[in-house]
Amino acid sequence: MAERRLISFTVGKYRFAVPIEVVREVVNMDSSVPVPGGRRPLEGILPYRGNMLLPVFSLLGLLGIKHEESGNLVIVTGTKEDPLGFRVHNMGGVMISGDNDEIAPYEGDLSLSHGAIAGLLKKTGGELILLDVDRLFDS
Amino acid sequence: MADRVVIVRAGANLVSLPFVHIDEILGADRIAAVEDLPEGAAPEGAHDQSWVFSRGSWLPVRVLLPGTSISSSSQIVVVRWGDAGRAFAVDQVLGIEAPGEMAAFPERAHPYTDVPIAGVRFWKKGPVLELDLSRLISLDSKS
Repeated sequence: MAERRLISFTVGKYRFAVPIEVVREVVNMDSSVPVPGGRRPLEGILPYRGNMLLPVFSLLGLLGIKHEESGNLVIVTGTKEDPLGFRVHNMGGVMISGDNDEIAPYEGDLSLSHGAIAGLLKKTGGELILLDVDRLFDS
Repeated sequence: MADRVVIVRAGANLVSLPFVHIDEILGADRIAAVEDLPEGAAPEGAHDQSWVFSRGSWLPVRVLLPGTSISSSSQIVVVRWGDAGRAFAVDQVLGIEAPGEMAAFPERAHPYTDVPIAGVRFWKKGPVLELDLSRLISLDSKS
């Protein structure tokens, strides 16, 4: 496996990592607009880049956790034409993952039904859930 | 010139409705209880409790957004779409405005709400939801 750069973040008790190239930017939820009649995992929409609206989702909601508090930061991913956001509590750092890192199957309480969890990355200092954000809406 | 809209407050949200489709704005004193309607005014099987008389016909009053209610301080906005007329209760009509361009509601968000939101405009730096009237009236007919 070639080296790749990952960025980590936390939502509640969970620590995640995604390839840094899928993160377009990180914004905050301060100007979010609640959606009347909105159902989880949709948490609201954010005015974005002038004349766009960014749909913001609960990451844990997409992964099968029914109740949790969401943070005030939003990771923006997706494409320029179809961006989407996930609420997180804290951003971690950028890390390098390479051949020496162990990736184990994930066996925790988050849903694996649509394959969005690629595995559990074991690094010095803790374990991170590797996310494949492209598959979060595959179900 | 920007489209003129009627801006209303419904619960925590500001909502805009195209001015050209607004027929009347009525006070809550025009609401009649279903038991006070003339015989045969309400269609068979109608379960709405509140009605208004507008341009020759009785219309059931529905809330514009879920989570809001009809009260003695509500205002009733009567909307026309083709031949269909609908009466929606809102908390307050704020005015007729020409807010800026609409940002379209993201397709990815549509499956997570039953409210037919077309997009968001900004008025006095705050967001105003624009509803898709054709879908609103279509959904209202089914409820």
